[in-house]
Amino acid sequence: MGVNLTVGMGEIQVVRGAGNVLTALGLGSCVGVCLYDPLTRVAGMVHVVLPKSQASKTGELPGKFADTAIPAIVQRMVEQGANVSRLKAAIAGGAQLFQFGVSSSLDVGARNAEAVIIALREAGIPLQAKDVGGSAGRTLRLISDNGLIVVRTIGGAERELAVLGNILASSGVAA
Amino acid sequence: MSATGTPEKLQQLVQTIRDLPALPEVVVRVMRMTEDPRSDAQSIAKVIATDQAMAARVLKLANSAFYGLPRRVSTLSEAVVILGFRTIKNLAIAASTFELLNREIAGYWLQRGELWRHSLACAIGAQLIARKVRLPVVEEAFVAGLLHDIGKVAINLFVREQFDQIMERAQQDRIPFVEAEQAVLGFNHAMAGGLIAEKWNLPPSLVSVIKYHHQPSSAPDKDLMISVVHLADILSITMGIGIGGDGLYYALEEGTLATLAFEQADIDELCEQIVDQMARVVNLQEQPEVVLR
Repeated sequence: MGVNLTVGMGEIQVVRGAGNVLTALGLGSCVGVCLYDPLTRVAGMVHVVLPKSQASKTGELPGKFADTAIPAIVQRMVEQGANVSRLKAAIAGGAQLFQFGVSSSLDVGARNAEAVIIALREAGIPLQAKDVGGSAGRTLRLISDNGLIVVRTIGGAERELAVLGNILASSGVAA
Repeated sequence: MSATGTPEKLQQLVQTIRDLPALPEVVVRVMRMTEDPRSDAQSIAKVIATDQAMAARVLKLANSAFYGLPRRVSTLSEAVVILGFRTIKNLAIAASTFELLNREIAGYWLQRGELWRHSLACAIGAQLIARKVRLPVVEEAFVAGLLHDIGKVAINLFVREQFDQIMERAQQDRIPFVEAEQAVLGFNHAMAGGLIAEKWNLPPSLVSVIKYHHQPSSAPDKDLMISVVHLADILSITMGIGIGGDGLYYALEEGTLATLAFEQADIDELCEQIVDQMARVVNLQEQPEVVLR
């Protein structure tokens, strides 16, 4: 009984077993983070909106901020039977406004991607693949059967970003 | 500005806009009544109630957590009294433009509902910014934000035909998508939106916001509201709320942040608030539960 879940802004979704699909629609500067445990097929996605939480208010949606999102999704996945040491990650999003160096205060896309990468590193989760930057919107999909990650550029082509369940690739054996 | 075949295209655009539905008579009357100090809640409610579908939507919006009412309002006249004339007018405009904005806009690769979501995010953002810069007409910001992209509905088919050329032009010349529309089609969605707003007899200030929402400094009236909506739009685009194939191929006009006295921390906070408030707006797509009497 697979489910097909949409991961809205700031949301975390975790599923277990084959046949499930997680989707983040319309990623602009937001970063979609996919985590996958190949053994238990616990798959998770979080739709990160901003790099850093203000200490005052993280409660309701920890998935909104990179620094609180990663620990929160890892915990949810462990509760579903995932093992942190087996988790692998792929990320997409972090787009920026086109050109015009003036708008440096709107570089939230780049800051998001950076913050997510740091948070993953701190959690000890290897980042297998990323598709970040640019000015196009993206749709990100994670298939729970094998950890297949598909990225579609809105108005453009769809492409396979990674297969997180691919043991050969993840152990570094594949070329 | 090279624009091949522009005269015929412009003719077609004018025709397309002519064919768009008029603003419902009910909204026009509500707009007029809310400006008239002699109007009362009862009579405004009565006018709205003549359009059942709209009345149901207005009530649904009024009861959304966005307005934070302490209890559920079940009648229109109650809603008018509690929320005030200006807010009710906005809800009526929102309810009546929903069908148009909720369309699939294939030219921009926007699925059904996406333009509405983007418009709502911009409306919410504009209202938040207007409050922060202490504009006296915070409610107007909501409507201006909601309608800023209405022109996309009109130029949808033209963009669909030449999307690839427009995108190529934007990337090659490194110009925002809206300028590439102008270069390839001979018109753009902001200008088309201005024409629609004029057709609807919306106030000139609103026409101006729609027309210049990508370049506030070019507006003859230099209304601060235009910068407010411009920033709200760019933030909504940046966060990817209802973005299409034109993606983030837009620019924040230089000086906008300074004009509004905004800094980095303000931007992050604003983004967060927009996300939170979006979660609290009702989904108008669902069948409205009818509680009219």
